[in-house]
Amino acid sequence: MSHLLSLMTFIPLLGAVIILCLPRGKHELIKSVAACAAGLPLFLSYFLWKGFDKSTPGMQFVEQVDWIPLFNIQYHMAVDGISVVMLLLTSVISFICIFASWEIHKGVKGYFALFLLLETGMMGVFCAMDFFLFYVFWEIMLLPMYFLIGIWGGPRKEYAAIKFFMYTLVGSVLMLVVMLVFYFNVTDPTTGKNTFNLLALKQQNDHSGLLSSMNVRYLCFIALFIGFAIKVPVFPFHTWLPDAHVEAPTAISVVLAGVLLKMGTYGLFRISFPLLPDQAIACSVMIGVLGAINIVYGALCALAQDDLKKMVAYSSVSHMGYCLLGMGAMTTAGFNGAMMQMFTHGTITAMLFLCVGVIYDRVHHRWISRFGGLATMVPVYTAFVTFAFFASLGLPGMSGFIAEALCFIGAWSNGTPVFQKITIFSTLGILLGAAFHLWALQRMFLGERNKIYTEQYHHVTEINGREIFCLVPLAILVLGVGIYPSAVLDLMNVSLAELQAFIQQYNTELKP
Amino acid sequence: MELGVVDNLAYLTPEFILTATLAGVITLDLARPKGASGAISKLAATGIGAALIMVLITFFELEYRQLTRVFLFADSFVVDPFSLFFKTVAGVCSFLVALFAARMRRVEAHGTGEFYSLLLVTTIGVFLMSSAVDLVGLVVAIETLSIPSYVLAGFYKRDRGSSEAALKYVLYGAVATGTMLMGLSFLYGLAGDTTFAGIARAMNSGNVDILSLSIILGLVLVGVGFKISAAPFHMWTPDVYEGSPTPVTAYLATASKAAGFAVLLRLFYNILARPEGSPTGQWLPIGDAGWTQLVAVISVLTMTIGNLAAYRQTNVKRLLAYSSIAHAGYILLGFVVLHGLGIMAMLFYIAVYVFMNLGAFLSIIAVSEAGGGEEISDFRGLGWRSPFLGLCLSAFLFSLTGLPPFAGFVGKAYLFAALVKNGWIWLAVIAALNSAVSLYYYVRVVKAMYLEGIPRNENDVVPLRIGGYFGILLFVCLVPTIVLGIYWQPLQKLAMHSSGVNTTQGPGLPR
Repeated sequence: MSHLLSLMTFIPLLGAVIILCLPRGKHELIKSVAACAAGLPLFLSYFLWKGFDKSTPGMQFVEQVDWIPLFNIQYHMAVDGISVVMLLLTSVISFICIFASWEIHKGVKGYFALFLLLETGMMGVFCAMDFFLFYVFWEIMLLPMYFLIGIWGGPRKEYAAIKFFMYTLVGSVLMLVVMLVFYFNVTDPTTGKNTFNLLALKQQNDHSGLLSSMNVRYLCFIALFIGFAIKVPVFPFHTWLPDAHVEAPTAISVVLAGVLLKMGTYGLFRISFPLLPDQAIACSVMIGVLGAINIVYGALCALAQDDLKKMVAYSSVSHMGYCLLGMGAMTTAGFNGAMMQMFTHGTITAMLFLCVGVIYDRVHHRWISRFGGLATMVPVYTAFVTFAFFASLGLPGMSGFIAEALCFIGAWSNGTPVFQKITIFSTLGILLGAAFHLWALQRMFLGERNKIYTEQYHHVTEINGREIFCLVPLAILVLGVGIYPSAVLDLMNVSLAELQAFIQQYNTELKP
Repeated sequence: MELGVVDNLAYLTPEFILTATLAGVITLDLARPKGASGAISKLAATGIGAALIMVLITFFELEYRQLTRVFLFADSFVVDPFSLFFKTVAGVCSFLVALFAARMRRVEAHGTGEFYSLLLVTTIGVFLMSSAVDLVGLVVAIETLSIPSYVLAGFYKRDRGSSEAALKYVLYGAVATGTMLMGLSFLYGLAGDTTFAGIARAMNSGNVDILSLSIILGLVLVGVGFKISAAPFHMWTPDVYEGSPTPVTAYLATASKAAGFAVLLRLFYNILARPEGSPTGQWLPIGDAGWTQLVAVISVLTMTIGNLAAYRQTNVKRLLAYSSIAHAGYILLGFVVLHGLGIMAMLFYIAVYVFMNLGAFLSIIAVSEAGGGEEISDFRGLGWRSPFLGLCLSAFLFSLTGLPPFAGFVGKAYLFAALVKNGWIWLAVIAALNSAVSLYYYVRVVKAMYLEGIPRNENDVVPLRIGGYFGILLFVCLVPTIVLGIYWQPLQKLAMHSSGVNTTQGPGLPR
């Protein structure tokens, strides 16, 4: 299994090419090929999980070959504890999404080909250890996403698709400039050449030229932060998210919330923090404050929504805030909490969007206030929704609780009074989170049936086998990680601890 | 290096082939045997193809004989990798344009013979422009390109748009060329020599009047700015591009523009800059004239105006015209830095730009030949009606935007890299934001093709057949657009070799 990461990344691409060659009418065949192309990486991810050495922070499964030697660009794929968690999440979510898309009837061939291309992009981002390669994968995802939202989306799909595309592209071109600044101002001492290798760029002693200037470093950090913040999305760059989520088809919302948002925080972990640790320390309060704003603002917005999908979308904004809070704290517990939140939010929000998809497929609207008393009609579905809602609001015993708790512990243990105030303020989010989840649950499932919109109840049928098949693995993950969090924490803890120690070296406040 | 007369002329084989083909086309057209138009287009395409092959052979011959350059006609004409690079680019452009036009009914109706003879003359013009290192020869070469271009723009004789395009082009062109000619005559007055090498010697002697130099610079920039359609000399571009026959537009946007850049580089790196001395690839402007700042401003203006104006366009050809203005701005970025990496990036971008831009224009031709129009609304649902064309055009447009994995991204990355390396970060940020913003109008075409007019089910699709001929040509443009975005090392090597990055000469000449 020497090329495990390449296989996991490019099998979906191969699947996409095969699908493009298949005749247009053979829907079942196309879907089966797609399921195989997404299933193989999932199968391989088992070996990744088994073969991954949890005790070392170093890179594993390394593949490193020259790509463009004249510019010293390398095809450099590797994983450490931070990537491996995201990679496992991506393979699970992608596989489930193939089945969540089973009912697509329009342009089947294009849909699944684009979806698999998207999966290649996602996998690649989490494996790439060369900045240039990372950037290429990062950008490759935009194209399929634009079409997937724009063609298969809801009524305002065109607006949502271009908004998503423009926002992300503006962020990423800033990243491109920063990438080039790093390339020309860091020399790898072993080769004597400029480099895109993220592990070499991390060596602060090699930074020279422009990167010696504090102002340039600060601007680089801000530019990278904006690029990643748009993806997370951090307030005030979040406005594309509700539009994109609401208009995207169910499976795409799942991928968007489950994997794509995590790329923003992953980018901070992989690029911003290691490359500019001094600036990360300097900006830690800003990151924490933005996290707190995200948590509370996102929850307040969710509380105000009557569209169930929009409510879930804003709950993502709120939950990604916990990641920022944990990251801003610059403590090992905080980093663990942030990574844990990235993983658990990926699974929980996937469940939430799948649940939204279930009801939308039946009654073709998502207005919370038009429902009522669904629990008696569809008890199994109600059970799944309740499970997902409780997981999302952070009920102990489920994974969301562990992640949120770790984030708060991490943020508090930062020790500075500012961070303690931020943490106290952020706890409001728990309250608000419980409020909007429970209120929605009550309005939709409990009480009397809606007396005005009676027609819709004819269409409400129980959740079917395919949908249960999509939800159950996620529910097992949520519950399993909630009861035994070490399964995930152990994978990433060593890498995160090393990163935290690395950053703290540059914490001038600690030095006498 | 002294060579015999015959050896000398051997380096002109591509030009000779083109001239012979021109004679053949005219003879064939005059004789008018039955079915001549097919024969004429085949002859012209073969001739251009043969010239292209000879250019490549000359490349190898220089390499084989270990020559860096060969001078002809008393130092007024040079064959070096730099000129051969531009000849290759121009050869590819005219070859593809010749093939596009071969199946266009409207071109045939207006006279195949005239079209191809004019196209061949412009090609000879571009070839001469990239080799000219003498002021007189340069002016002759520019006119050899320009005058047939004016006629080609008005090739659809009774079409108002085409006539308007020709008139606008000729008026603007006359003024621009005249202004440039004035600048060049001042230059002669200042240097007392017409060959670039002689001028460079005079410039390096140290006693150069900065005021005269600035005037010359301004006047020359008008002429070159017109050719590459840089702001504020871009006004003619949208109307001429929209009105001209589409193959002509494609030619003007690629080969003609590339020739403009060849002249710009050759002229400025010879007479207005000198190598810093160390092998870093850095150059210095002569007499500390701050013209790099001026070019930086022009480049920002050009790309911003091009991108902003493209927003409101409803005609795809006009949209691509503004896009080509914006691209002139991007390519100028490589010129601002006065550095070998910048020249390399420019050459790389020009090579890549040719394929994606020709591909985009070819898609328009294919659509209109299959019965569609040139408005964005005519492209509605095209991605479903003709999947291959939709895929190709999307790839070209995304490549023009600068998204990976397409070649346009690599080109832009190198241009930005040249800026960042030389500390022009603010310019890199403006350019990067510009290219992000440009997505918005390129995607309008993609949106029309895929997001609008989606068929209700697969049996409702009314297919639009573009035919195998245009399909193959599209594929020919698509392959480099994608392959050079995934593995571009050979092209970079070629661009580095041609730009003279590895020598201290750059595109300049021995002093």
